[in-house]
Amino acid sequence: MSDYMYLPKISDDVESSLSITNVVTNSRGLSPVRAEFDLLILASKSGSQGWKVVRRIDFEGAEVKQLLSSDYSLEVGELIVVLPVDKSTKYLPELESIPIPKSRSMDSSLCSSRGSLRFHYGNSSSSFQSEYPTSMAQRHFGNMTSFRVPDKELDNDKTHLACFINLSNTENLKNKKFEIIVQDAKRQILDRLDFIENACTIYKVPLYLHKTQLTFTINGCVAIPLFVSLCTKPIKQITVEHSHPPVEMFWRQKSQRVGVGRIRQVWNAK
Amino acid sequence: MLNKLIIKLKSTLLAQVCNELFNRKTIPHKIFPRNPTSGRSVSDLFVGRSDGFETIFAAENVLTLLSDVEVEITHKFIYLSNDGQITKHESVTTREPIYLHQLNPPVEGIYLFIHLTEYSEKRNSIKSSQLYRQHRNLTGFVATGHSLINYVHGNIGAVYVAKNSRLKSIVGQSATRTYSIQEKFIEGYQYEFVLCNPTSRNLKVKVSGFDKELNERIQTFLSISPFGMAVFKNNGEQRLLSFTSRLPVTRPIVFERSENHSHLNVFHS
Repeated sequence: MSDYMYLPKISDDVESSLSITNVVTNSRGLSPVRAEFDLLILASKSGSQGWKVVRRIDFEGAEVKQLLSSDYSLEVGELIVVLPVDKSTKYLPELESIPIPKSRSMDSSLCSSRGSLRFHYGNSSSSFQSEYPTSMAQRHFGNMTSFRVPDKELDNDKTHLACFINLSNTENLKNKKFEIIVQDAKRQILDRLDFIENACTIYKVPLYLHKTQLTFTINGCVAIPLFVSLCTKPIKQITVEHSHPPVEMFWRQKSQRVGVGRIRQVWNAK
Repeated sequence: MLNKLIIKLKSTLLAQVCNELFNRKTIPHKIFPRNPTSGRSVSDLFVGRSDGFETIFAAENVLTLLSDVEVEITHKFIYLSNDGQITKHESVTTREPIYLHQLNPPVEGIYLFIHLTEYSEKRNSIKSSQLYRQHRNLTGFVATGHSLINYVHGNIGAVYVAKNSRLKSIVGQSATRTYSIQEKFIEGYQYEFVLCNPTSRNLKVKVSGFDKELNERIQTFLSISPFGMAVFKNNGEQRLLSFTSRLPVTRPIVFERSENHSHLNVFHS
């Protein structure tokens, strides 16, 4: 099991950072172990398919490396892709597709090694464990259904963003257009927006929908949803959390198959 | 035709058990018992907090989210003491797809709770008895003087109430594993690592701090009662922290705060 990591730019006044360690997250034994790998930093080539190698980083001993979005002059919606690679593998400065990341696992212990993605706004910051599974980046098809937790109040000083991360191996792209559909609890379509692959598509929730339970769907493509909230009063603050895929709502394979099938039938039919 | 046959074969109990046995190293749950609770609902062991915090729980109504109609659900919240004893029951009946519940713990401080659900209506096209619901929902923390809710997902759990009204779990303790935190700690910030024991046996946890060469610099041992918790505090000076126990994943919920408490970040590490 291997994963990509990503460093997105979600707003003009929000920077992001990604912390990655070479200590294996979960492994058998009484002591932590170190994984040997380099980090390859890739940027999407604007205007054409393919990737540019921006940087390569190696570790000195056991440590946590931190990457900052401000170091990469990203526009809102753009992202940097970070992946662990074998120390001995050489890469050309430009790549047609994203390489497969190296696994950082030592055994079959649960919980793959990820990166801590943190968003910074004023003196406030908020983080979560982020990863983009290789299996998702290699998929030619799929759907996304994500239920957003509504806010308790309508507050002009708050901004709620729904961000949808996608990484696709460019060989899979066939100039298909996808859209994100925004529905309320009664399945009324409230909004549609173009979904951008190999990027972070951002939806600013309008004030009148802050208290509404929204469901976001994509038909034909997969994405990881992140929900970010910002406020300006009483102090500048930010919070972020990702949402689990619907399969996590059910336990045991049979329930997962019935439950997820039903969710796709109800929400992804439009 | 062949596809339908394959799907049918895969859905047999034998096929499911074989699949779980084959993948058992990556499945944290016990393979048996298959149907441990008639309520068809299991819960993560959630962390709440009341010392200068409000805790809000985003309770999902699974059948409403996958039906054409709103279905009545009873959300049951069971509060636990730090040593895993049930201290309070609370229930709310609603039809909302996601109900925001403000928790009312019987104690001040950090506490544990589980969330189970019950359906009474029979008229929905999917019967609740067909689905095992796993509650891993978001818990939100609002610090006094703040207006934003800091959400964090539930951690590993699968806890339920057995027929004799005692807590049980489908998570067990097995091989010793070491979980290392993937975070760059900020010096001067206060960190509280909340470790839960979602199993029915006592849990021993070794907390270690390391230098760049992975030489151990600090070591603390914690003992946690079944369904209980312990808190480890650190001020961010230690760069690499690991937690060793016999849980599949010894992953704490972390509260990160600045000295004047103007900054709050809650995350699972």
